Amino acid sequence: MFTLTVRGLRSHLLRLGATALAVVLGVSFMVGTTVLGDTVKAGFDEAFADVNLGVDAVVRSDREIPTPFGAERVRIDATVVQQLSGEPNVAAVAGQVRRPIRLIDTAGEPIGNPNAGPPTFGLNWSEVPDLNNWDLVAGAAPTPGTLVLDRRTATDANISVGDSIGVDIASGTRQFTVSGIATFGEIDNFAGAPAALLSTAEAQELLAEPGTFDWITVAGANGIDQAELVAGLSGSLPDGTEAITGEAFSDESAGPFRDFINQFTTFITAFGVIALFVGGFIIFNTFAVLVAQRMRELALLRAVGASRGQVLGSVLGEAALVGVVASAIGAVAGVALAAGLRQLLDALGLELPPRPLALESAAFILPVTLGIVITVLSALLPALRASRVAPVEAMGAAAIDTSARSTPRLVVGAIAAVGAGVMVAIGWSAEPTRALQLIGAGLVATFVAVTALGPLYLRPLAGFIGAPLRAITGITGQLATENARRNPARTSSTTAALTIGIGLVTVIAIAAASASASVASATQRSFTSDLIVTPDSFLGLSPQVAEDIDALDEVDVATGLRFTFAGVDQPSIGPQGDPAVPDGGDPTLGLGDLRGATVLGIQPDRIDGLVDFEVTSGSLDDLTGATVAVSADEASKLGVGVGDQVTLSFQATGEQSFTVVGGLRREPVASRWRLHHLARDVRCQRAARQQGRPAGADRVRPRGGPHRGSPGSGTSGCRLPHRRGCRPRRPHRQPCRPGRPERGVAVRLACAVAVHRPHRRGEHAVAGGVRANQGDRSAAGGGHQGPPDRGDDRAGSHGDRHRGHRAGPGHRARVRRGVVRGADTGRTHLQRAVHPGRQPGGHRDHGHGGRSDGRAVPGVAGQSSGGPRRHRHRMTAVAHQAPAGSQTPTGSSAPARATTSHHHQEQ
Amino acid sequence: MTTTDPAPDAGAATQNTPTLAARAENALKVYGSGDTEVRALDGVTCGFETGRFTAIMGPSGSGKSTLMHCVAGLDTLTGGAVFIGDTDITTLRERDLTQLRRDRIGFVFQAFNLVPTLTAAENITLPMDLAGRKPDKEWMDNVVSTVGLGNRLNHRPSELSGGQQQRVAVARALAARPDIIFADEPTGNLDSRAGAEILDFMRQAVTDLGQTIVMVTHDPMAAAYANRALFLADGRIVDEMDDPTAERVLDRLKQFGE
Repeated sequence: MFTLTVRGLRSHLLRLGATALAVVLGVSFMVGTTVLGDTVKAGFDEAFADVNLGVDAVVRSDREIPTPFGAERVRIDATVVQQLSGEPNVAAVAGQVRRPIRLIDTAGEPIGNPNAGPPTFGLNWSEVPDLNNWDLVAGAAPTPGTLVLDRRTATDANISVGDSIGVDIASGTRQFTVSGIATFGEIDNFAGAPAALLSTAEAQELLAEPGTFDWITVAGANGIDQAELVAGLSGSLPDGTEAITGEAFSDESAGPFRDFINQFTTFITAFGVIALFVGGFIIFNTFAVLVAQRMRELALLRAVGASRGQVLGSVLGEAALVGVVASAIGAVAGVALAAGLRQLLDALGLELPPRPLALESAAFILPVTLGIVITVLSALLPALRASRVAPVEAMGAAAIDTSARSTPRLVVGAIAAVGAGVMVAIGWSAEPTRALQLIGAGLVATFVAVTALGPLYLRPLAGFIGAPLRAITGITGQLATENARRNPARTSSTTAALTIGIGLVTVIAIAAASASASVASATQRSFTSDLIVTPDSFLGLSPQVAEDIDALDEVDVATGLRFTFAGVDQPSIGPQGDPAVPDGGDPTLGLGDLRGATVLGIQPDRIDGLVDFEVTSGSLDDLTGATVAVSADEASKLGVGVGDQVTLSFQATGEQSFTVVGGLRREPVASRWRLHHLARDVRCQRAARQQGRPAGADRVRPRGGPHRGSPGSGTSGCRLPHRRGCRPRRPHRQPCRPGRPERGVAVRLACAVAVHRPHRRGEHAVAGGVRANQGDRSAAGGGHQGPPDRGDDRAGSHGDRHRGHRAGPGHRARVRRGVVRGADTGRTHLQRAVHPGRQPGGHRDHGHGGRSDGRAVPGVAGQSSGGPRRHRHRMTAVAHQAPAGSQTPTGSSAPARATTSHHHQEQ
Repeated sequence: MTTTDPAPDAGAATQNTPTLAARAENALKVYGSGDTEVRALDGVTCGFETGRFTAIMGPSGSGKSTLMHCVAGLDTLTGGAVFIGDTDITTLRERDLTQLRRDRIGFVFQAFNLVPTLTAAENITLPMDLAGRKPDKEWMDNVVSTVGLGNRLNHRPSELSGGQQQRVAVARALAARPDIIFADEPTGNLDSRAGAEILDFMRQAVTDLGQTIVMVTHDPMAAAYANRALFLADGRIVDEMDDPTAERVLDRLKQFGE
């Protein structure tokens, strides 16, 4: 009997080979992603274990601020270091500062690819040898004004001791002299990431706050257990701090990377599962055809004495063999795929920790089992049909397909159809994760229903679709139609793979278009400015950019927008189970835990006409350093209204109290993606902390001069508000001191600049001006006159892009996205000029617009349908920043306003 | 010629004779119902003696194939009973019937006798493989040499001529030493020379090996190889003939047309 199975297999090798391909693909995707995921996770675990080598305990703030990028914590006072040194069992204590930065090489080019690879870290050089895992290989430890570079980066960028190197921090670029080159233990860089080490004092000043650390590492006395050390420390810690073991800290640090990799691999695994699902239909179909072809042979077997079980077994055995062989091939291919994917990610600039592939048996068991089981299950129905063949059919009676309208088939189809409807109906209003599961399951059930019920509708459908064919080709079309209708069950399962494929593509296309449309409409509603200028890195823009743009003759008014994250105390009514706490947050927040919220800083006296917050109560004019405006959602969540107090926790300054002075209908940006993206642009940005410097000390540059450069260029000047369209411009400037962290809102650098274009001016000039001001970095091209048509527009942008990219370092102030309002065709000039690389609104991460319809994006009123939005973001707080040292509202300058939570609020 | 009233005699003779390999009693097979009712077998009673070669003759639609299918356990009766040896197969369950076919009955069909993916030798031993039994080597050699396939045994059916394929089919039927072999138009697809070879071979199996064979045919030439011929018309046995010759059978068949 086994011989028969094997011989059967061999005789249909070609047909089965094509069938097996689906299984091979599915299994290899699943194996490949699992192996890759295991490898990368192991790599990160190892990397963080390396980073925290020798660290037995970590002391840090217990105030965690959830952000979309994982939790941030309020900084901890440097005096805790001294306090901990006196504790028993403590061998060494060191304060740590770590911030992402950007390095600018001697030629003025940014080093590395901060948007794709690991971030470049700015660290402090710890003077405690036991807790400093860096070994100098050249030069000396850093002093103020100098830094130590990791050897890999130094080698790659061809930098040696004594060279000058730029470091982008929040306030601009600072020049440092390289004092030394170091390795991280055996590793040439910071466990995969470039790193620059500053002297502790300077790191505190530039990367954190003076007198604070991000966390404190503790080395225990010889032989002490980490948990024991932590238990000992916990009793004597200052309020607001906590201690965890070094192992726990490493594990926690690797968490976000694991999460990211999990998301990535889940995404690809989904393709594997879909491939297997589709494969199931293909296998079913193949075996159905094989069985139909072999009816007489099977009947013969039955006649000469094969039992039903033997016939069933021979078909299932054939399927099992296919499944085993295909899954085995898939497993091997999966390992190759994992290696290939890693190469691909490397090639894309996403450097992963180097290590051999992690081949854990668990990575193979599930996919291989699934591959075999799906193959066998798919062949089950055809095999059962084979076993039911009557022996008398060996005498030549034709096999009649009776399955077309068989009752079980209809029952299965009906159940699947009803199940699909119910699941989608429930999932429609369920919370996101559950909705995804339910609707996904509903999708699968839909495919099953469509296939199972095929015989019901395929005959008339084929007749209808075939009508033109018959009309045109006559008998040929007639035969084609009749063949499709003759065996509707077979036709149905044949088309299943195509049905699924087209179904999935449609789903994805619609989802993308919907996301794009909702972002676009939300943006159109809120951003009424003509342009939005965003940076090309997560470091944000210097406040100077807003200043420089504002100073252009062609610009009516430009204002900086700042984002940061703050923790909001849970309302006293208890946790609301908000599932949309940003990644890394605990979805089951208890009392006392903080919920993440986005805070947007604005200049209220300049925001009019640029961003419409739809103020529902109070006034933005009342924003000061101690006041906020709150989105409707957030207000109802907190139960506050105008005049009430809210408390926000900031990383730099801890808890701050604000009076609510306004209510906003909604946040300016509705899409979570977009909000995240904007926020990412300023992530890890230092608050403008060079407060107190004389205004304009190093701010005002000659137009056209390089923007980057002078140390301490962070001070921004702020002009008094202009009236829209006022001309001639006589900039009246007054000192502006971006708020001290000790005061009020932790405001970060302007990450976006809203520009209002005056009427009847040549927009191209703006481009020229911006370009000049940006040292050719942010703009190129422009200068086109007259209303271009779309084709011209595109062509021009292509050209511009090249120039723009080559033009300079472009790392800080490249204009990223143009936002254009109105039907004035001239706007394209402005947009294109300021935005050399991309079409308006076509930022690829945002999903809105895209090249072809980018012009329609923001500001075009009337396109916002205002339909129910499923993703809601709330403006939490709009706060005005107070001048240093004062709680009193003054006519100050760099106001900060804020949007809120990137939360997804459940309904 | 003795063509008078054979059916009651045959029925009486088979009743208690231990030498019958198979018999049917009042076999009834009805297709459809009401106006469309067709009585394929209308109360057939007959027996097939052990060690004899019986031919079932009759015009198309006379029910000869149906009779064979029912006696061989390939199809079920509407009424009446069929015995293989002393076993009433109409009472057997599906599983036991399959086993009975495998162990006690051999088949030769008109066409598509062989599993195309197996070699001639594997096809011959197929029923024994299905039963999980080892073939009797000596008997196998005997059968194979009788069939005269020798060097073609390891070829696939597609590499054999039609006559060779039918010889393999007969060899398969013989190999398991069944109680009875049913052959359904075994020469229907062969030219006359190859057909004659097969019929010779079957005749030989009866005379030399003592095999019982029942053959359905409409060819008087084929019937001439049998020891006895049964004539069916309209689902009934209308005549029987011992030691038929082609001429006598042809004459008898002509009467049906009149």
